[in-house]
Order: sequence, then structure tokens, then C-alpha cells
Amino acid sequence: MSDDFNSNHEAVWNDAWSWVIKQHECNNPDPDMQRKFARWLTADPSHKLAYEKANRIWLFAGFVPPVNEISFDANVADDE
Amino acid sequence: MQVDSSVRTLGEVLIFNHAQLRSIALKIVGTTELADDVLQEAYLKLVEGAYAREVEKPFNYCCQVVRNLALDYYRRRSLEDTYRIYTEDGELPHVPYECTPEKIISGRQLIESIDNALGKLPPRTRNAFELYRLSGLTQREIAKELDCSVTLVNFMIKDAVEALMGCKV
Repeated sequence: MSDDFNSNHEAVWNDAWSWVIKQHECNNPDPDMQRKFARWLTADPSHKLAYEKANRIWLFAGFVPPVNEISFDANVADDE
Repeated sequence: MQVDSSVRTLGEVLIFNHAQLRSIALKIVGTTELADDVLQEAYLKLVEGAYAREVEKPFNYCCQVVRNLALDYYRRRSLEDTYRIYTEDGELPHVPYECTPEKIISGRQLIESIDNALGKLPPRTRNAFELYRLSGLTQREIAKELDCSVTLVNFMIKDAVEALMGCKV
């Protein structure tokens, strides 16, 4: 029972991260991806909770000052 | 209260470069209203000390914070649209925070723990991750930049993400 809970918990955590990464890589998600995401997110309250946690870590990872030479605005200009 | 002087510096950098930083946000979020929201939040983040270390290049760091927040705004908005379109009632399922066993840690603590986790990675892995997370380069572009294979970049990013997955939030 406890093992089931843990492995399920881990699977949800992994899925949450897959979505965060997918969304990072894709600025304009297509309707199919959005539909799949909405379906996953609403399937169980634990999904939304895991997603919010993963998303918070991802957001705050973006506030860590880099140790390497990184340009931030170059790509914004390229986006157009 | 040593922090105060560097906090003020970052806040000042943001104010002095307001127009330029606003245009970075505007390009991402699309409306001046949202761009102003982003700038406002960036200012609050910088003032409340949402950074872990001494920042070497304050202007670059402000660009980073603004861009990061703008992208987050943009994603959140498209997430809300997704709900409206794809769920029957358009309501977000309510998940009270009380059901998380762990306490919510402060932004500053979280940044420190992420910084620590990234600090344990091999330097090249961290470099690949920073290019991925902050510059928004594709894995292919990172491979070119670091002169290695796309497969290796993929592995390095996976390692970095795994390190993040272990951070307490």
C-alpha cells in the first residue's frame, strides 16, 4: 500500500516535470497538446499540486544568477 | 542589514532602465498593461531579495528576472485559456495548500537550495542548463555553442532537471 503510494507519487511528480519542460520548450503549444495537458491536470487533484510545485521550482530556477556568461535578451529580439 | 545596499542597487537598476526592461517584457506578454504588471512584480522580487548571491552584472540580472517573469505570466495566461476552452466548466480544480505536508519555503530559501543543487553538477552540465533555462536556446543550439552532441546536451539537461526535482518546495 505504502509502496503503491510512493511509486504513484513518483510517477505523478515525473509527469508534472515532463509538462513543465514541454511547456518551456514550446512557447505556442498546439491545441492537441493543450487538450492533453488539461486532461492530465484535471484528472486528479494530486496532478495540479505536483504541477504547481514543479512550476514553482522551475520559475525560481530562473532567478538563480548564472555562473556562466549567458545572454538574456538576445533571444527575445529573435523571437519576432 | 548588509543586504540592503545591494537590494537598493538592483531596485535602482530596474528603475533607471525601466523603458528597456519594459520592452523586453512587452515583447513576451504582448500588452503594455501586462508588461507593467511584470515590471511591478520584478521590482517586488528584487526588493524582497529574490536572489541568493551577490550579483555581478546587475543589469543582466534584471533582464533575466524580467524575462523569466514575463515568460511565466505568458504561460500562466495560456494555461488559463486552456482551462476555459478544454474543461467543461472552465473552473480550476481547487487544491488547498493545507494538504501539502511540507511548509511552503520562502523564495529566497528556494533559490538558495536550487543554487546549491546546481552547484553540485559538473560545470559543463550547469553551463548547458543555464543556456537552456535562461537564454531559451534549443538543445541543438546549445550543442553548437558547447561544441558537443545533442545527445550529450539532452543527458546534461536531464541531470540538471533531476537535481531540481530533488529540491524541497
